[in-house]
Amino acid sequence: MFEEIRWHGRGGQGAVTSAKILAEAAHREGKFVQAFAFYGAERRGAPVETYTRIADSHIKRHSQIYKPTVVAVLDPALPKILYMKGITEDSTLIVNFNKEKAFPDLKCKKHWIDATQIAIDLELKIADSYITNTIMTGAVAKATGLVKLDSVLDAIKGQLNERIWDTNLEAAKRGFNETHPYSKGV
Amino acid sequence: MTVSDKSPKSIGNEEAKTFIISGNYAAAYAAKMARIEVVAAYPITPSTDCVEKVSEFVEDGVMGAELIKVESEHSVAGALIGASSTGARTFSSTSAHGLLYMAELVWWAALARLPVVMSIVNRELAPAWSIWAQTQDSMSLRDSGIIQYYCKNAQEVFDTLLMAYKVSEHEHVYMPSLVCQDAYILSHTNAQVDMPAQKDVDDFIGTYNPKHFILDPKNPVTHSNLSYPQHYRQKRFNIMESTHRAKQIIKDVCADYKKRFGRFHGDLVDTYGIDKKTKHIIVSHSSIAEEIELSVDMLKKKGYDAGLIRIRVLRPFPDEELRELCKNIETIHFIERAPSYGYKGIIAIDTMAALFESENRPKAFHHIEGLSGMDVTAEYAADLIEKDLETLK
Repeated sequence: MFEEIRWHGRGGQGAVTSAKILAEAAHREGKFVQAFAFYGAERRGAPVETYTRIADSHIKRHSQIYKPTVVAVLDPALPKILYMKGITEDSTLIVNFNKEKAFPDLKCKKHWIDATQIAIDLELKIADSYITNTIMTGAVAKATGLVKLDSVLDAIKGQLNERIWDTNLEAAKRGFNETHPYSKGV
Repeated sequence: MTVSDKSPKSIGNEEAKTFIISGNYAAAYAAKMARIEVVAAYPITPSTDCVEKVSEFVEDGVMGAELIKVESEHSVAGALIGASSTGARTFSSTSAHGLLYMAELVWWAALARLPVVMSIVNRELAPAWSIWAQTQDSMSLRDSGIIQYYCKNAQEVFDTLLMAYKVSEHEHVYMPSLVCQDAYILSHTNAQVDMPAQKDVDDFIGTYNPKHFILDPKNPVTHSNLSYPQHYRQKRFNIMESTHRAKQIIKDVCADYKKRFGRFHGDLVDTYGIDKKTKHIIVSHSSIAEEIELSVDMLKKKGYDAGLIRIRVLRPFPDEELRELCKNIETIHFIERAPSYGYKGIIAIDTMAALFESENRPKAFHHIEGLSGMDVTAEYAADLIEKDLETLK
């Protein structure tokens, strides 16, 4: 197993935390992991990429991810061109869309989830923007089967302050349960 | 009484434990478990997280160190020199311009024989402004006498910091150390880091109890006064001797660490895939070298007898080890981040000088790659070597 997950979000949406939660979840299942980001001038609202690697043995790679096996998009308004790069037919793409027809026209395994609506329901909000990072960790667990939901929930407890556990655990569970495969196939 | 006798009450793990943390945090945890007594800090990107974590430890009361906030990196080194002179175990972390701003006092710490240890996040120098990885910042201080380690992953950063104290504080060494990691690639990448139990670290590292004079108001001494040539010369010859002697001590400490904790990242050099048949050796350093281990696998699969030497310690330089490892090879390929402007890569310069004293003079190929943290992927590095070898056909 050598999985490379790329997360797309905007500065302040918690994509770094998504990458870390998935890494910790896989670590709890005995896998070797890396969680990192591409750093530059950090600006709230600007598109950001973060990454998780999961493998059966110690990871020697330190370069960026060019051919992601999984791509998860936290923000529905991100330009498609940003997250389409490097996707192959074997990649799994999970996007925060409220309807499946919004998908870009490319060959890969597609899943969608209305994560923003879940964030609105749960009032997962920081500085007036809805935070979908923990929802998307649940969605990735469901769409890919890389980790169990229970491991994601434990990892959320490991990564987040106890004060915000309840909402985020619920967020990940709903993310897991409300992820839909793209009905028209590949 | 030395400050060390106070035995700071840092709280480490009772049991060995695995954390998923960045290289910066790995350094901060190592500083805590080494029971540092004095930390001075003037944070600079991308080493900021390290001293931030240390200050959090101090604030939370789980680290018994004195944290001194100063107004510049120059003062950081000044504070550490002062503290180390009293016999305290000291620590800080910096990068790029921060390290060069303290350069004068890095030399001072070395020439004063003070075992200050710092975590360095290797970063490019401006202009143009860049925050990404490159090793010229610390490598340009290689002539100062300071011991320099270059790590390939966060686990090695943690382990090497503990080993660095043991080496620096050895009575036959008494020299400062820099434990270096690549900006972002290690400093901000979270990965598994295994940490031993605190009592095992205590047993390994001991306390710093210098055998020479220390600064103590109750027992005043005059030192660093005008030193006439014959005395000054002797002090410098002593440094030359001690830094050479440090090679064996580094090897011994790495072997001891392996015995106690089961981890070994190489000593002066780390090697991968080298055997009697090896004809082509790649020489590299830092995190690039760990990815190049994959290139070696790729090249072997294509039928090339390739191997890798990672320069783990740049000073003291592993010249004998390199001569031994390269005595039967045909080609040597340098892939390194740091050029010496006007000549070649810094590691290539030193390695070529070492091999000049060897019977075997392999054909050399020079590559400066990964400037400003540019990726050197395993595939790209393997391709470089293949192209080098094609020129010989």
